[in-house]
Amino acid sequence: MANKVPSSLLNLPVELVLRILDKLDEFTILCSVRNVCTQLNAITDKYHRYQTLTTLNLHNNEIGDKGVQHLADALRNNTTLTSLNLHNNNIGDIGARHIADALRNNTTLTSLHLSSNKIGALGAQVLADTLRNNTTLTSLHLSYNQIGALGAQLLADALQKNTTLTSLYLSSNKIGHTGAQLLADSLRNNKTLTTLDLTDNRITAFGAQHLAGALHINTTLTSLYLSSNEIEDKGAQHMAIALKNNKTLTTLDLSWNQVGTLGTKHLADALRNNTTLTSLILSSNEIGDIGAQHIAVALRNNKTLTTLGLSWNQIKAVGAQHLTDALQHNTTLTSLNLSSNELEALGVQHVADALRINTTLTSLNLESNEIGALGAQHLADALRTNTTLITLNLKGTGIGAIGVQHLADALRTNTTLTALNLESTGIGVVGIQHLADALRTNKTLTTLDISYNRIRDVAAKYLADALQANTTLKTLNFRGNEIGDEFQHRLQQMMESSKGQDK
Amino acid sequence: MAGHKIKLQSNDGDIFDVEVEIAKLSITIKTMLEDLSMNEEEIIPLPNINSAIFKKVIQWTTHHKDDPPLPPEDDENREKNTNDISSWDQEFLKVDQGTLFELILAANYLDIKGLLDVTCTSVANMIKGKTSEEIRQTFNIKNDFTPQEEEQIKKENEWCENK
Repeated sequence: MANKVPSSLLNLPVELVLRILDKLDEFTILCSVRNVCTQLNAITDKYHRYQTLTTLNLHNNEIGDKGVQHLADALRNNTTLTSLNLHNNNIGDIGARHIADALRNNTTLTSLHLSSNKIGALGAQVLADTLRNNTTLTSLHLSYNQIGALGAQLLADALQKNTTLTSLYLSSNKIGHTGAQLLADSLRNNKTLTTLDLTDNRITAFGAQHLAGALHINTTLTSLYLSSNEIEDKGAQHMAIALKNNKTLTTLDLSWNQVGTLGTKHLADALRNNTTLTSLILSSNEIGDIGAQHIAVALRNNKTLTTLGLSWNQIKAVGAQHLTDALQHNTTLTSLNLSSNELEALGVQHVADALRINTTLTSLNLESNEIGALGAQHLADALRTNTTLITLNLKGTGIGAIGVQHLADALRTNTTLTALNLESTGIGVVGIQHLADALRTNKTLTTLDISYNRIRDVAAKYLADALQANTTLKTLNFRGNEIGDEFQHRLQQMMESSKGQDK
Repeated sequence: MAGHKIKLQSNDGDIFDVEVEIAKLSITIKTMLEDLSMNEEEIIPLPNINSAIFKKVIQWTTHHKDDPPLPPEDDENREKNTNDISSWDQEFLKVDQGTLFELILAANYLDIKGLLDVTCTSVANMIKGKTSEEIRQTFNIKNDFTPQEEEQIKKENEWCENK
């Protein structure tokens, strides 16, 4: 009988211990309940939440080195966890050592996020040592960790041996051109890594030259992120030479690198023959109209590129004309980002002309170009015949009430566009009224952003009334307006019930 | 109906007069009364519960007799760890560990979901934020891992404490 044996946790029937475990979060089960004694381990081994615990997300906690030690102990004999996120947890080299030690015995974890900690070169060293023998980990995130050139060197050495890791994220680690050079050297031998993120690492043209050299030989890497470095025209030229020969790379990000027209010309020349790259991001460089012209020439021949990022590049109407002329011939590009350039109504007229003919582009971003009501009118006219574009971003384009009226008219007949961003466009009550009327009949638009438009209750009421008849719109973003609680609540409820209808 | 009482007997022989409405918070007793249509004069034996624990159970059910019924249990809401315990319950659960676990067993046997929930939550709160070693100390559990396993854990601890 129960009253003869003093009751304790371990004397409870298993079913009741499991009830207690039900009240605990995954982290506590892993770090407090595991490894207390063999009986509790046997119970947790059969507990469905532990058995199915494949992803543990602990980002932005203050776990620290001590907390990581307990976690690492639990990882040793864990056979469920495949993904562990320890982003921003004040983990130093000691904590990195605990994890590295645990990974020696662990054969389940495939993804480890240690970004935004402070593991330093020492932490990189212990992880690199583990990578030499570990055959399970495929994805390692070490961005923002002060690992420096030395840390990069140790990881590069490990990559010569490792044959499992496919993704390595090292952004913002000050690895410099030395670090880039050593990683590039290891890429010559490594046959496994497909993604390398070296964003914001003070890599100069010299570093880019070594990476480009490796890309001549490497046949595995598909994505290379070099945004926010200092490669300039010279570095872009090296990359261009690599692109002429490389048959593997599909994504290249060279944003924020002070690449000018000359560098762009080299890249464009490479694109004419390259048949592999699908995504090229050149945002925040110094491409200008002439650079845009070079790219346009390449787009006429290129049959592979699907995504092109050209935001923040001082492209004006002339540059837009070159690009959009090319789009009348190109049948591959699906996504074009021209945000934060200097396209005015005239520039957008060229874009609209292309949209009448082009049947490939599905996503167009014109955010922060002063296109005005006239620009919106050109786009609206094109949208009457275009049957391809799915996403259009017109945030901060100054189209105003009249511009929205044109777009709303087009939405009555357009049956393709599903997402429209009109944030900060000064559309006012009249604009909302037109938009609301269009939404009564439109059955395609699922996402609409009208935030920061100084919309008040009068306009919100038009919208709410119109949406009674609309069951297509699932997401309405209206933050930053002057809508009272009652209508905010009403619009929110309408979106929730609209989403519910899909289930 | 109100004030109508039934007789319940603990396993050490004491007989308790309990209001029917309070006793029925126990699904086990409710089922006995309804399904077995037991004579209300009959003494219902509760062979798994001693007097001390049964007094605590009556104290809890009397306080909670007007609580709204808990939602039906499914796997999803069973795992929602709402670990807030009302101040009355916190006071009520200031007992030694033996009593706490006896209460869990009693709540389970009598099928009183609210009491089972709050007692399990109380134990869960004793586990939270502790290391494995602290759990052993709290619940007086012997470390029964093999010497090798133990050595490994000890080494880890020393290494960390030297820091």
